Amino acid sequence: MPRYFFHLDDHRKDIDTEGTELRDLDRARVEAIAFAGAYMRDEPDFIWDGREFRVHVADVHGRILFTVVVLAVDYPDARQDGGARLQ
Amino acid sequence: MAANSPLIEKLRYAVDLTTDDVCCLQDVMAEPRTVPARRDLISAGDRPEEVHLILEGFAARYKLLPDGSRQIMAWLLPGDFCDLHVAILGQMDHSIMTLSECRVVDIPRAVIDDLTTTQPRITRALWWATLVDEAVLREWLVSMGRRTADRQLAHLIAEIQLRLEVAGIACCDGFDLPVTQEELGDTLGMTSVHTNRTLQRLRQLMLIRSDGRRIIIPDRQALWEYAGFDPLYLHLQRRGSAYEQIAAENHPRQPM
Repeated sequence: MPRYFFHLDDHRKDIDTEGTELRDLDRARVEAIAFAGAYMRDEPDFIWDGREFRVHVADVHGRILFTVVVLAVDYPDARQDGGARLQ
Repeated sequence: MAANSPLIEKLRYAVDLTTDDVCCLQDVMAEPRTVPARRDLISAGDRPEEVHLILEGFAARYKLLPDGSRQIMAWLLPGDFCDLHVAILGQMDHSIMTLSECRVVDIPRAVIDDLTTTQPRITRALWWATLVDEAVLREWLVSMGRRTADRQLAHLIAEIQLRLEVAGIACCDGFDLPVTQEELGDTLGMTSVHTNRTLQRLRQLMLIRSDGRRIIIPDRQALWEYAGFDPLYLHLQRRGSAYEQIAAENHPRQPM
Protein backbone atom coordinates (compact mmCIF):
# COMPACT_ATOMS: atom_id res chain seq x y z
CA MET A 1 0.00 0.00 0.00
CA PRO A 2 1.29 3.48 -0.77
CA ARG A 3 2.54 5.66 2.05
CA TYR A 4 1.20 9.19 2.51
CA PHE A 5 2.64 11.98 4.61
CA PHE A 6 0.37 14.42 6.44
CA HIS A 7 2.19 17.67 7.14
CA LEU A 8 0.66 20.31 9.36
CA ASP A 9 1.09 23.98 8.55
CA ASP A 10 -0.24 26.36 11.18
CA HIS A 11 1.76 28.70 13.40
CA ARG A 12 4.37 25.94 13.52
CA LYS A 13 5.33 23.62 10.69
CA ASP A 14 4.88 20.05 11.78
CA ILE A 15 6.47 17.59 9.36
CA ASP A 16 5.25 14.00 9.22
CA THR A 17 8.48 12.00 9.29
CA GLU A 18 6.91 8.55 9.10
CA GLY A 19 3.79 8.61 6.96
CA THR A 20 0.86 6.22 7.06
CA GLU A 21 0.11 3.40 4.64
CA LEU A 22 -3.32 3.89 3.08
CA ARG A 23 -5.20 2.03 0.36
CA ASP A 24 -5.21 4.82 -2.23
CA LEU A 25 -5.45 8.56 -2.87
CA ASP A 26 -9.21 8.65 -2.21
CA ARG A 27 -8.59 7.17 1.22
CA ALA A 28 -5.88 9.78 1.83
CA ARG A 29 -8.31 12.58 0.93
CA VAL A 30 -10.83 11.33 3.46
CA GLU A 31 -8.19 10.87 6.13
CA ALA A 32 -6.87 14.40 5.56
CA ILE A 33 -10.28 15.90 6.32
CA ALA A 34 -10.77 13.67 9.35
CA PHE A 35 -7.31 14.57 10.61
CA ALA A 36 -7.83 18.30 10.06
CA GLY A 37 -11.13 18.11 11.93
CA ALA A 38 -9.69 16.17 14.85
CA TYR A 39 -6.75 18.55 15.10
CA MET A 40 -9.02 21.60 15.08
CA ARG A 41 -11.23 20.06 17.77
CA ASP A 42 -8.19 19.93 20.05
CA GLU A 43 -6.80 23.37 19.17
CA PRO A 44 -9.63 25.66 18.08
CA ASP A 45 -7.91 28.89 19.12
CA PHE A 46 -5.05 29.04 16.64
CA ILE A 47 -7.22 29.54 13.52
CA TRP A 48 -8.07 33.01 14.77
CA ASP A 49 -4.49 34.21 14.94
CA GLY A 50 -4.79 35.43 11.34
CA ARG A 51 -3.20 32.53 9.52
CA GLU A 52 -4.64 29.65 7.53
CA PHE A 53 -4.45 26.13 8.83
CA ARG A 54 -3.31 23.65 6.21
CA VAL A 55 -2.79 19.91 5.99
CA HIS A 56 -0.46 19.10 3.09
CA VAL A 57 -0.52 15.50 1.93
CA ALA A 58 2.60 14.31 0.15
CA ASP A 59 3.79 11.07 -1.40
CA VAL A 60 6.94 9.21 -0.51
CA HIS A 61 8.94 11.40 -2.93
CA GLY A 62 7.87 14.55 -1.13
CA ARG A 63 5.48 15.72 -3.88
CA ILE A 64 2.44 17.53 -2.45
CA LEU A 65 -0.61 15.72 -3.78
CA PHE A 66 -3.27 17.98 -2.27
CA THR A 67 -3.82 20.46 0.56
CA VAL A 68 -6.71 20.96 2.94
CA VAL A 69 -7.04 24.63 3.87
CA VAL A 70 -9.15 25.87 6.75
CA LEU A 71 -9.73 29.56 6.96
CA ALA A 72 -11.76 31.69 9.36
CA VAL A 73 -12.84 35.15 8.19
CA ASP A 74 -13.58 37.93 10.66
CA TYR A 75 -15.92 40.84 9.93
CA PRO A 76 -15.08 43.60 12.43
CA ASP A 77 -17.46 46.02 10.61
CA ALA A 78 -20.46 43.92 11.60
CA ARG A 79 -19.85 44.91 15.16
CA GLN A 80 -20.41 48.56 14.13
CA ASP A 81 -23.70 47.97 12.32
CA GLY A 82 -22.27 47.53 8.82
CA GLY A 83 -20.80 44.69 6.81
CA ALA A 84 -21.92 41.31 5.39
CA ARG A 85 -25.18 39.55 6.19
CA LEU A 86 -26.24 36.00 5.42
CA GLN A 87 -28.80 36.15 2.58
CA MET B 1 9.38 -12.93 34.39
CA ALA B 2 7.47 -12.49 37.67
CA ALA B 3 8.17 -14.97 40.45
CA ASN B 4 4.46 -14.99 41.02
CA SER B 5 1.71 -15.14 38.44
CA PRO B 6 0.49 -11.69 37.29
CA LEU B 7 -2.97 -12.47 38.67
CA ILE B 8 -1.61 -13.10 42.15
CA GLU B 9 0.62 -10.00 41.99
CA LYS B 10 -2.39 -7.92 41.00
CA LEU B 11 -4.83 -9.36 43.55
CA ARG B 12 -2.42 -8.56 46.40
CA TYR B 13 -3.55 -4.95 45.90
CA ALA B 14 -7.10 -6.12 46.62
CA VAL B 15 -6.75 -8.31 49.70
CA ASP B 16 -4.12 -9.98 51.86
CA LEU B 17 -3.93 -13.38 50.21
CA THR B 18 -2.99 -16.27 52.47
CA THR B 19 -0.69 -19.08 51.36
CA ASP B 20 -3.77 -21.25 50.90
CA ASP B 21 -5.40 -18.60 48.75
CA VAL B 22 -2.30 -18.47 46.56
CA CYS B 23 -2.24 -22.26 46.19
CA CYS B 24 -5.92 -22.28 45.33
CA LEU B 25 -5.40 -19.65 42.62
CA GLN B 26 -2.33 -21.44 41.26
CA ASP B 27 -4.37 -24.64 40.93
CA VAL B 28 -7.00 -22.79 38.94
CA MET B 29 -4.33 -21.50 36.54
CA ALA B 30 -2.72 -24.89 36.01
CA GLU B 31 -3.20 -25.46 32.27
CA PRO B 32 -2.73 -22.43 30.06
CA ARG B 33 -2.84 -22.63 26.28
CA THR B 34 -1.30 -20.44 23.59
CA VAL B 35 -3.62 -18.39 21.36
CA PRO B 36 -2.23 -16.73 18.21
CA ALA B 37 -2.46 -12.97 17.74
CA ARG B 38 -5.63 -11.35 16.35
CA ARG B 39 -7.82 -14.31 17.17
CA ASP B 40 -11.26 -14.02 18.77
CA LEU B 41 -11.29 -15.57 22.22
CA ILE B 42 -15.02 -15.11 22.47
CA SER B 43 -17.70 -13.31 20.43
CA ALA B 44 -20.71 -11.13 21.15
CA GLY B 45 -23.74 -13.34 21.72
CA ASP B 46 -21.71 -16.32 22.97
CA ARG B 47 -22.79 -18.08 26.14
CA PRO B 48 -19.41 -19.25 27.37
CA GLU B 49 -18.99 -22.18 29.71
CA GLU B 50 -15.54 -20.98 30.66
CA VAL B 51 -14.02 -17.84 32.08
CA HIS B 52 -10.81 -16.72 30.39
CA LEU B 53 -7.78 -15.36 32.20
CA ILE B 54 -4.82 -13.75 30.41
CA LEU B 55 -1.41 -14.86 31.67
CA GLU B 56 0.76 -13.39 28.90
CA GLY B 57 0.12 -10.97 26.08
CA PHE B 58 -2.51 -8.31 25.37
CA ALA B 59 -6.16 -8.84 24.46
CA ALA B 60 -8.96 -6.39 23.70
CA ARG B 61 -12.70 -6.03 24.25
CA TYR B 62 -14.30 -4.68 21.08
CA LYS B 63 -17.47 -4.17 19.12
CA LEU B 64 -17.97 -3.86 15.38
CA LEU B 65 -20.48 -1.53 13.80
CA PRO B 66 -22.44 -2.52 10.67
CA ASP B 67 -20.14 -0.34 8.52
CA GLY B 68 -17.16 -2.40 9.70
CA SER B 69 -15.67 0.20 11.99
CA ARG B 70 -14.42 -1.09 15.29
CA GLN B 71 -14.21 0.34 18.79
CA ILE B 72 -11.91 -1.29 21.29
CA MET B 73 -13.33 -0.57 24.77
CA ALA B 74 -10.69 -2.16 26.97
CA TRP B 75 -7.29 -3.77 26.93
CA LEU B 76 -6.85 -6.99 28.89
CA LEU B 77 -3.36 -7.40 30.25
CA PRO B 78 -1.65 -10.30 32.06
CA GLY B 79 -3.59 -10.97 35.27
CA ASP B 80 -6.88 -9.73 33.80
CA PHE B 81 -10.00 -11.85 33.57
CA CYS B 82 -11.87 -11.50 30.30
CA ASP B 83 -15.33 -12.50 31.27
CA LEU B 84 -15.79 -13.11 34.97
CA HIS B 85 -19.15 -11.41 34.71
CA VAL B 86 -20.71 -14.06 32.48
CA ALA B 87 -21.08 -16.22 35.56
CA ILE B 88 -23.95 -13.83 36.33
CA LEU B 89 -24.82 -12.20 33.01
CA GLY B 90 -24.75 -15.41 30.98
CA GLN B 91 -24.19 -13.92 27.53
CA MET B 92 -21.40 -11.84 26.01
CA ASP B 93 -22.45 -8.36 24.94
CA HIS B 94 -19.13 -7.74 23.22
CA SER B 95 -16.25 -9.68 21.67
CA ILE B 96 -12.74 -10.31 22.91
CA MET B 97 -9.73 -10.81 20.64
CA THR B 98 -6.04 -11.31 21.23
CA LEU B 99 -3.88 -8.39 20.11
CA SER B 100 -0.60 -10.26 20.55
CA GLU B 101 -0.02 -13.96 20.96
CA CYS B 102 -1.41 -14.80 24.40
CA ARG B 103 -1.15 -17.47 27.06
CA VAL B 104 -4.70 -17.98 28.28
CA VAL B 105 -6.28 -20.11 30.99
CA ASP B 106 -9.80 -21.42 30.43
CA ILE B 107 -11.52 -21.81 33.79
CA PRO B 108 -14.78 -23.74 33.86
CA ARG B 109 -17.69 -21.71 35.23
CA ALA B 110 -18.25 -24.39 37.86
CA VAL B 111 -14.78 -23.68 39.27
CA ILE B 112 -15.55 -19.98 39.56
CA ASP B 113 -18.91 -20.75 41.17
CA ASP B 114 -17.13 -23.00 43.66
CA LEU B 115 -14.56 -20.32 44.46
CA THR B 116 -17.26 -17.78 45.15
CA THR B 117 -19.05 -20.08 47.59
CA THR B 118 -16.01 -21.44 49.43
CA GLN B 119 -13.31 -18.74 49.26
CA PRO B 120 -14.49 -15.36 50.59
CA ARG B 121 -11.14 -13.59 50.35
CA ILE B 122 -10.55 -14.66 46.76
CA THR B 123 -14.13 -13.74 45.90
CA ARG B 124 -13.62 -10.28 47.33
CA ALA B 125 -10.45 -9.93 45.28
CA LEU B 126 -12.23 -10.96 42.08
CA TRP B 127 -14.98 -8.49 42.84
CA TRP B 128 -12.32 -5.77 43.30
CA ALA B 129 -10.87 -6.69 39.90
CA THR B 130 -14.19 -6.27 38.08
CA LEU B 131 -14.84 -2.98 39.88
CA VAL B 132 -11.42 -1.69 38.82
CA ASP B 133 -12.23 -2.70 35.22
CA GLU B 134 -15.30 -0.47 35.51
CA ALA B 135 -13.26 2.38 36.92
CA VAL B 136 -10.83 2.10 34.02
CA LEU B 137 -13.73 2.21 31.60
CA ARG B 138 -15.01 5.40 33.26
CA GLU B 139 -11.59 6.98 32.92
CA TRP B 140 -11.44 5.97 29.25
CA LEU B 141 -14.78 7.72 28.71
CA VAL B 142 -13.33 10.89 30.18
CA SER B 143 -10.24 10.53 27.99
CA MET B 144 -12.20 9.96 24.84
CA GLY B 145 -14.67 12.71 25.56
CA ARG B 146 -12.50 15.48 26.91
CA ARG B 147 -8.76 14.93 26.66
CA THR B 148 -6.96 16.24 23.59
CA ALA B 149 -5.41 13.55 21.40
CA ASP B 150 -1.88 14.09 22.74
CA ARG B 151 -2.96 13.86 26.34
CA GLN B 152 -5.32 10.98 25.67
CA LEU B 153 -2.50 8.87 24.21
CA ALA B 154 -0.11 9.93 26.97
CA HIS B 155 -2.73 8.92 29.54
CA LEU B 156 -3.18 5.49 27.97
CA ILE B 157 0.56 4.87 27.91
CA ALA B 158 0.87 5.97 31.55
CA GLU B 159 -1.98 3.67 32.55
CA ILE B 160 -0.75 0.60 30.67
CA GLN B 161 2.77 0.95 32.06
CA LEU B 162 1.42 1.14 35.64
CA ARG B 163 -0.98 -1.77 35.16
CA LEU B 164 1.86 -3.92 33.81
CA GLU B 165 4.06 -2.88 36.73
CA VAL B 166 1.31 -3.88 39.19
CA ALA B 167 1.14 -7.30 37.49
CA GLY B 168 4.91 -7.66 37.92
CA ILE B 169 5.55 -7.54 34.16
CA ALA B 170 7.11 -4.15 33.50
CA CYS B 171 9.32 -1.69 35.29
CA CYS B 172 8.86 2.04 35.43
CA ASP B 173 10.81 2.95 32.34
CA GLY B 174 8.68 1.28 29.69
CA PHE B 175 7.01 -1.78 28.22
CA ASP B 176 6.46 -3.73 25.02
CA LEU B 177 3.39 -2.57 23.12
CA PRO B 178 2.33 -5.32 20.72
CA VAL B 179 -0.47 -3.45 18.92
CA THR B 180 -0.76 -1.98 15.44
CA GLN B 181 -1.43 1.72 14.92
CA GLU B 182 -4.87 0.81 13.63
CA GLU B 183 -5.65 -1.06 16.86
CA LEU B 184 -4.30 1.86 18.85
CA GLY B 185 -6.51 4.20 16.84
CA ASP B 186 -9.56 1.98 17.36
CA THR B 187 -8.84 2.13 21.09
CA LEU B 188 -8.52 5.91 21.22
CA GLY B 189 -11.32 6.64 18.74
CA MET B 190 -8.81 8.20 16.34
CA THR B 191 -7.93 7.53 12.69
CA SER B 192 -4.65 5.81 11.81
CA VAL B 193 -3.23 9.07 10.53
CA HIS B 194 -4.10 10.98 13.67
CA THR B 195 -2.73 8.18 15.85
CA ASN B 196 0.51 8.17 13.90
CA ARG B 197 0.90 11.96 14.12
CA THR B 198 0.04 11.94 17.83
CA LEU B 199 2.71 9.34 18.53
CA GLN B 200 5.20 11.52 16.65
CA ARG B 201 4.11 14.50 18.73
CA LEU B 202 4.73 12.67 22.02
CA ARG B 203 8.18 11.72 20.74
CA GLN B 204 8.88 15.33 19.77
CA LEU B 205 7.90 16.36 23.31
CA MET B 206 10.32 13.66 24.53
CA LEU B 207 7.62 12.09 26.67
CA ILE B 208 8.15 8.73 24.99
CA ARG B 209 10.75 7.02 22.84
CA SER B 210 10.16 4.01 20.65
CA ASP B 211 12.48 1.11 20.06
CA GLY B 212 10.65 -1.31 17.79
CA ARG B 213 7.66 -2.46 19.83
CA ARG B 214 9.08 -1.08 23.02
CA ILE B 215 7.76 2.17 24.45
CA ILE B 216 10.35 3.85 26.64
CA ILE B 217 9.28 6.45 29.19
CA PRO B 218 12.29 8.67 29.97
CA ASP B 219 10.53 10.65 32.70
CA ARG B 220 7.44 9.11 34.19
CA GLN B 221 6.60 12.15 36.30
CA ALA B 222 6.62 14.34 33.19
CA LEU B 223 4.38 11.89 31.33
CA TRP B 224 1.90 11.73 34.23
CA GLU B 225 1.82 15.50 34.48
CA TYR B 226 1.28 16.00 30.76
CA ALA B 227 -1.46 13.37 30.68
CA GLY B 228 -3.11 14.60 33.88
CA PHE B 229 -2.71 11.00 35.07
CA ASP B 230 -3.80 10.24 38.63
CA PRO B 231 -3.67 6.51 39.40
CA LEU B 232 -6.51 6.85 41.93
CA TYR B 233 -8.93 5.07 39.57
CA LEU B 234 -6.77 1.95 39.60
CA HIS B 235 -7.56 1.63 43.31
CA LEU B 236 -4.13 0.42 44.32
CA GLN B 237 -4.45 1.85 47.82
CA ARG B 238 -6.98 -0.27 49.60
CA ARG B 239 -8.54 0.17 52.99
CA GLY B 240 -6.19 -0.84 55.76
CA SER B 241 -3.18 -1.12 53.48
CA ALA B 242 0.23 -0.06 54.73
CA TYR B 243 0.13 2.91 52.33
CA GLU B 244 -3.18 4.17 53.73
CA GLN B 245 -1.74 4.04 57.24
CA ILE B 246 1.26 6.15 56.24
CA ALA B 247 -0.94 8.64 54.36
CA ALA B 248 -3.19 9.05 57.39
CA GLU B 249 -0.19 9.59 59.65
CA ASN B 250 1.12 12.31 57.39
CA HIS B 251 -2.17 14.20 57.18
CA PRO B 252 -3.54 14.19 60.75
CA ARG B 253 -7.01 15.63 61.27
CA GLN B 254 -7.07 18.49 63.75
CA PRO B 255 -9.45 18.00 66.70
CA MET B 256 -12.35 20.51 66.77
